Amino acid sequence: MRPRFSHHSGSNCPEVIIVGSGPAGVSAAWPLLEAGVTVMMIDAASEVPLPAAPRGDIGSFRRDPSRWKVQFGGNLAGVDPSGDQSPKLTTPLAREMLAGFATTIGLRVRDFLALGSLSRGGLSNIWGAVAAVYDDEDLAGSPVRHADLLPSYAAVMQRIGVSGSAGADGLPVEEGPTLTAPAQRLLSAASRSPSRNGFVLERTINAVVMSERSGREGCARCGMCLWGCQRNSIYASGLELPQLCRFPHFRYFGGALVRSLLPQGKGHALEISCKNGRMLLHAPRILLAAGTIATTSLVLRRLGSIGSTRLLTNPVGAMAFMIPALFATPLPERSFALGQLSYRFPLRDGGRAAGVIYGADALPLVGIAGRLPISRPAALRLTRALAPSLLLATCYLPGRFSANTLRVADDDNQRQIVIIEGVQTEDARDTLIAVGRRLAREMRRLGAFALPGSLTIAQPGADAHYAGTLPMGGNGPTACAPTGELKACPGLYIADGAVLTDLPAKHCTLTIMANADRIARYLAARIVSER
Amino acid sequence: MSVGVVALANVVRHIIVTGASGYIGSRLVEMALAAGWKVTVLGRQPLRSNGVARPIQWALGAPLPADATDPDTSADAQALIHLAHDWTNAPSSEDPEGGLNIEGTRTLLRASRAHGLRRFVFVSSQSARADAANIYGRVKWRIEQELVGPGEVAGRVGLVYGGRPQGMFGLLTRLAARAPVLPMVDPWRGVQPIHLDEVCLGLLRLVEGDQVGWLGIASPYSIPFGNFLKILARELHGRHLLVLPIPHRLALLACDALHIVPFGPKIDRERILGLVGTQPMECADHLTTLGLNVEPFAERLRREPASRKTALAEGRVMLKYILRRAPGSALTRRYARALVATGPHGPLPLPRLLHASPALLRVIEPVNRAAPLARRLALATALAEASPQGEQMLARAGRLVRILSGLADLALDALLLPLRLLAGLLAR
Repeated sequence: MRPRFSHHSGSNCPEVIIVGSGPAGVSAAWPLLEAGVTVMMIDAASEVPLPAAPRGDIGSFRRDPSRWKVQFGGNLAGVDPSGDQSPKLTTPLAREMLAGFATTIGLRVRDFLALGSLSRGGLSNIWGAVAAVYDDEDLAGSPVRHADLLPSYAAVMQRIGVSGSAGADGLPVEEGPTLTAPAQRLLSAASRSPSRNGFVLERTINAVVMSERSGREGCARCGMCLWGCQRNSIYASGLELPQLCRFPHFRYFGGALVRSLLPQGKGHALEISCKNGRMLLHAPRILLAAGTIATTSLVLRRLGSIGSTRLLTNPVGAMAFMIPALFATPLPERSFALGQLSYRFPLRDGGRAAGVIYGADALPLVGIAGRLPISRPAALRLTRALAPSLLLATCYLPGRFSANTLRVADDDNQRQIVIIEGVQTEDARDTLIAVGRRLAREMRRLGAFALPGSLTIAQPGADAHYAGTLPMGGNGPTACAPTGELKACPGLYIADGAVLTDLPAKHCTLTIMANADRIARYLAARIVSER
Repeated sequence: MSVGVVALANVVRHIIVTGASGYIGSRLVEMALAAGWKVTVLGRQPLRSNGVARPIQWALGAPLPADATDPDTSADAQALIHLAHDWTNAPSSEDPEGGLNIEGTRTLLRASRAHGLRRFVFVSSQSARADAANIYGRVKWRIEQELVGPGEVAGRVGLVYGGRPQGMFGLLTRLAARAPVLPMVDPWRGVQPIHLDEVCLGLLRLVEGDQVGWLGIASPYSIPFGNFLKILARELHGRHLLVLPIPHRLALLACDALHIVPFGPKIDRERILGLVGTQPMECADHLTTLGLNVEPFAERLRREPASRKTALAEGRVMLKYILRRAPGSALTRRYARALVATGPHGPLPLPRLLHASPALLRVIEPVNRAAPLARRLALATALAEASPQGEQMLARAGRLVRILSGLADLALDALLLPLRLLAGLLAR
């Protein structure tokens, strides 16, 4: 099933235009459409189909003579062994997805990794699928409370399907796939020994369906998660477009890139470029969900002469642990390669550190082998022996440890550019190191030992959790109302990560979706009442 | 190799080629045939007919054979590409320097005009100048002056490389393969290298076009000749070539000396003079006129079969070191392809000893992971892991064997670490 394509004709302008087909845009579309509001979704994605996900399970994949094509691409362009990037960013699928974003939006970065995708579903196609729910402590400082978001969390989770262990607040969570052996051991050790000093370790909730749901098959634990989910068990927002297209009052306009936002009468106009050239679309209300970086640059240009805004990210590190009892055991034939366990603990000066623990039995060895300070042949063999016993943990700090800025400008050729400067606070690095030490202590208590020297600290932006540029609450020139409406531009709503007030260390995607749902519910009610 | 870019809708349908057995000529004929032209080749030896090109016996100086033109094609749909050159410079009585080359070309030109051929394309040289240092350059220039009729044009060709190792390219390739240190006249002198296929395509475009005078068929950018040879040695032979600048008088002496030595490369002093006298040639506009895209030298060279051979040899060393057994040919080929795909660096110069026993890499494997050799090893590791052979090697051992061999590996690594550090210091 493919989304329909229709072009806007001036006669019947939609009540709301949504910009972007990522998790936020799709989550905002549902409540509007269900309330009968006419919606047009504008998406920069072209019609080029993304590479198909490979079939089979991880065991047969390891022996597959054409495995290299999946791993590096048929042209071997992805075989560059220098990268210290996360393995999920270097697959041919990911490279395809991320390609062209920076040049298209005119991105200039300093000390910052800015990821974005112009493909259908945006970054959700390479989303690790960790679905975390923010509690009131995570939402401290935000005008939106956990209780405000709860109905939206429930609706989104019901819609996209999440699994793991039964959630709190009666949220709909299925029993997830069996964890990898080292994660299972860790979890059972944690259940035997009570947590101390606020260290919490629990099963990760992932946006993975366990049974058939709207054309997606349940997870069969094939272990190919990294290379693209062949059953579509892992959520990606593009999967929902066919369902949205069934609403008669929904129109999808693909291959259209929004160049600028303009005021027009009581409403707003979007200048877009598509294959037919440039055109102007207008609607009384526009809901921006193009992803924090793209959304923010559109808004900054619309507001004019704002200077730079802050851009929140989670400073991130990673660390490797091993469980000796599993060393040198054979690698499993099947696995589940997404987040296994989530941990969090309070930081000394407030807020929490959090992270997700992954197995390594379904990852290419070369990335880990490259970090071992021994000869290559020995490193490859040792990594193979280590892999079944390895646990890889990410460590995230709250957004207050980031001090990145984003601004818009024109370059020498009068071309619009977006400039991001990556900065972390002075104590970010030391705090990450301290978090790593604390994590190592807790893990040792549970029988997992940190590999010496394995803590690596990534550059700003590597988390891809971009947020907080147009925050709800506050009085700054770029502030939004709790309804997501940009205070300086009535009728312009922000529904993606840009609108988050703060960025706790937990993964933000599910909250962005729930918040988009909440904003759209409010907007739908308002539009219906005005009729 | 495809030459599909040459449009078939041109008016010229038949080409007569002189010097068709030479380095450029033979490839030119192949490409012209592949692009759908009728081709007649003129040569001294009865040319091996491949059943497609029509061979006719002819020698420079002789009149154009009556059957050289194609009776089934009108004269204005025929062209002549003149490549033949007499290297002996057989003097004619009245013109000791121009000799057969000038006389022979005049004869062809007269015939071409008499038949009313649409195009006469003369293959000239970047060194063509009235005051060129070598006879070759002066003769080429003098011939160019004869091209005054409509449809007569010269293509000044830069330093040609690629294809079969013949001509100047063959000579330089042999030099780059053998000499450990290459004494060289003025190694900073710029050359404008162009691939054989690009030259032939350019000449065919001249046949199709209506340009007159001369056009440069060479790289728009020049690189120092010393670098050209270093790249040649690295890409084609995986060698590190030292270039030693020497005065050109000494070079001429040396090449005279080489003629006395019975074996070893012979170098024509004419050619040395040709290189010394090379002047930069502006040709970017000409290339645009011809619609010719000239690839950077190192990148294009990497796709040459000889270069591939070196990459394959490197692949065998790297992969055998990682796998500890000889790699399969598919895996080795993938390594060579990955080298081309991953960047501007060609094969590494590896000592011969390593080709014999790749395991010795363990002693010199760089500790610094950014070192070129370390990056190649990382590449080999990635490819080896993602191959059935690698998987078989990794999956084979039982748990105890894995643990014990892992410990042995670590112990050996610890022992060898001082040597590796030392090797790293020496490499700096």
